[in-house]
Amino acid sequence: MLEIKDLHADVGNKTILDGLSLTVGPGEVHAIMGPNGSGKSTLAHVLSGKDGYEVTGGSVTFRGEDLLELEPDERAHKGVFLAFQYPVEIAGVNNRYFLRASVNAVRKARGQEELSARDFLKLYKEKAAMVGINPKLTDRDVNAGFSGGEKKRNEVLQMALLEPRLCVLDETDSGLDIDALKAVADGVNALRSPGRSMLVITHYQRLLDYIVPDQVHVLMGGKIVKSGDKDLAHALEARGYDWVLADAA
Amino acid sequence: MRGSTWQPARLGKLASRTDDASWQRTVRAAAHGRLDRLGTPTRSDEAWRYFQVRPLQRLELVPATGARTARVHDEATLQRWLDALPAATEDAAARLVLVDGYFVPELSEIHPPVADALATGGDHGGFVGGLAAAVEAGARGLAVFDGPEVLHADALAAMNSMHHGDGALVDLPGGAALTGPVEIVHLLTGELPTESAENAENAENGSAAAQPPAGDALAAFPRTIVRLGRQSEATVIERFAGLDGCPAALVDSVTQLHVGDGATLRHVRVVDEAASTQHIGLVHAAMGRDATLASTTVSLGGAQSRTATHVSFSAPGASARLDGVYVGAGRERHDLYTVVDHAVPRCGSDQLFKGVLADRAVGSYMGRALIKEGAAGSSAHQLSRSLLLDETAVANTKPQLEIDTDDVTASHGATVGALEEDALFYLRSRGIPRQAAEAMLTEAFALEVTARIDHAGLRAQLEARLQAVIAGRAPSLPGAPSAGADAELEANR
Repeated sequence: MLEIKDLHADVGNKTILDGLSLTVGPGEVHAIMGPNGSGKSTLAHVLSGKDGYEVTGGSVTFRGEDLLELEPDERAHKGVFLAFQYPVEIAGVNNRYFLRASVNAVRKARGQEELSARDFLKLYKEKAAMVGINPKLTDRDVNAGFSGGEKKRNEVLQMALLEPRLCVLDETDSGLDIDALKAVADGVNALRSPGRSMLVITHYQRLLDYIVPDQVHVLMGGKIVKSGDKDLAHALEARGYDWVLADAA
Repeated sequence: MRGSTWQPARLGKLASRTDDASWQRTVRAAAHGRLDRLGTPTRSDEAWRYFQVRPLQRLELVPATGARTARVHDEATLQRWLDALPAATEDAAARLVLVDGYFVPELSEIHPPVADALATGGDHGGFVGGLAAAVEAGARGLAVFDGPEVLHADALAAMNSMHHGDGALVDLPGGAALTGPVEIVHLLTGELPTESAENAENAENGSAAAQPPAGDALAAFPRTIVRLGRQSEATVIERFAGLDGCPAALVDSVTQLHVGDGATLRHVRVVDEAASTQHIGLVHAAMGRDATLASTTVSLGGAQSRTATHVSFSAPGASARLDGVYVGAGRERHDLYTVVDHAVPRCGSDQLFKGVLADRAVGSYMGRALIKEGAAGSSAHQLSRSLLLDETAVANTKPQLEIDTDDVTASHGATVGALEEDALFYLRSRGIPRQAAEAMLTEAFALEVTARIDHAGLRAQLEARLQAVIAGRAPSLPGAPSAGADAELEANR
């Protein structure tokens, strides 16, 4: 599904990713953990094609295709989805209008027929119920005046609507209390399927109690320094990150 | 004499007209004197610093006289004009059509609600229709042209008075309420009247049609007067449009709004002129006690479009909302200027101006709120925001508060910038292509202004028009600009 080989990336003149390699198979859930500044969000942004990140080496192959060659919208068409750590508030753009534009842009690119307003509304209500978000609540401007939990649920709602093949969750747990965290995790778990891979980026092990990963990787200094199963997350929670470096050295 | 640089020879000359009434001769002569004294504006006049004089210097302007519109009886021409008119709102109470500044009854419609509204006045006898016809019908004459001081101090208003011919009058008696809008449509043909037309007619007998001298261009001088009696209420829309292929021309328009005690006027001015038209508009609102004005200027087209709006508060308790939005591309220039004169206590003004600029377009907003001594309990708010879609576009913005009294609530702010990269990336990461994402954000930016228009039908119509203009003007080159504004942010207190 996703193959990252020896990826190097700079922000400004600073090297953030320094030889990162990672392979995620179909249907697998991988967690990326690491301390602040280790390159977690940079990885998420490089995968989704945000400006300002210069890839200086290595490759990212997604379903056999060079992902780095594609524009952000093309990546979405191919099935890459980034759940933002800080979903952007967009005044003046109605959330439902935005979601329909998004779904139809992706459908069009995939050669599917665009949905009428009526058909979209049906789909929207169905997915909103699945994600546990009040459809009326999201009938405002995109993320405007949403609580932290509502923003994250809105991200999961978009994920449900766009049916991606690879979901990158960038610190989805940040700013959530335990109830909101559970609700968001339930939504994500409902979207797990054999054809859909996930990359769960998090600082804390807490989220991984609810979204249980197949593999856990520790990202430090811009590369994966340790990989293991879900128990690795518990070890990190108990012992911090420093021992990993000592262990790796 | 200062500022004579672009006073076009024929416009500066007092042309007497054979059919003038005596009051008209008085108006023309007085205006001529004022124009002589004032001179035409130059860039050293603060209020005109963003206006380009050069395009006007190149034109030999010929005033419209109405001879052409009065002579037109053929169906083909009327149909051509009718086809060029912008769509009206469905519930319009009246549509007054002026061609080159002259009222054309054949194209105008006045519906029964107008008669009902006028009837509430009993003997007062209001009027909705062409201005010249109104003058003929009653003893309005000089009284309606005798505008406030602001008009006397403005050279373009003087020029309008000097060459006045016709216009529109909406005069509602006290207590009248019109729910549907009165639409005043100004259509510009740019076709030369008077000698040139006569030459063409004379030439029909000869071999080739006589060509008007190169550089000759039409100047139209429409006057719109809206008078709302005590406690009356109306929505008035002024739309300015041009025929397809309308040659270079000038529209010098004056709009006088008299909002009586306790009356409510919603005024929307849409400048959507043909590509080579120079448009200069002056709107003056005289506000009575507890009067309410909601004014929106939508500036979309023309080579150069200026709308100056002056609001005079002369009795306490009145409020005015002044909004504006412009969208410019190519080498268009849009110039929006406001002055709100808080001369009396307890009046409120609130301004929201937004501009969208692409290519090499230049847009300007200059807004002055004057809170004079003794105007206690005033509130004045101004916000100006400009969006640059290309690095080559220029936005000038200058909100100004001049406060000479205590006990006021006032604020002002201005921003100039490009589309927010984070928002753009968010939309694109959801599969929306760059151009569509840019259009979506640009629309959202501009529609904040039209969202404040009360009339739902008009609001929807303007939203659709703005969307079409924005879709046609999204930057053609990939690569959004970074914020690079030649912006001027000034604030005087």
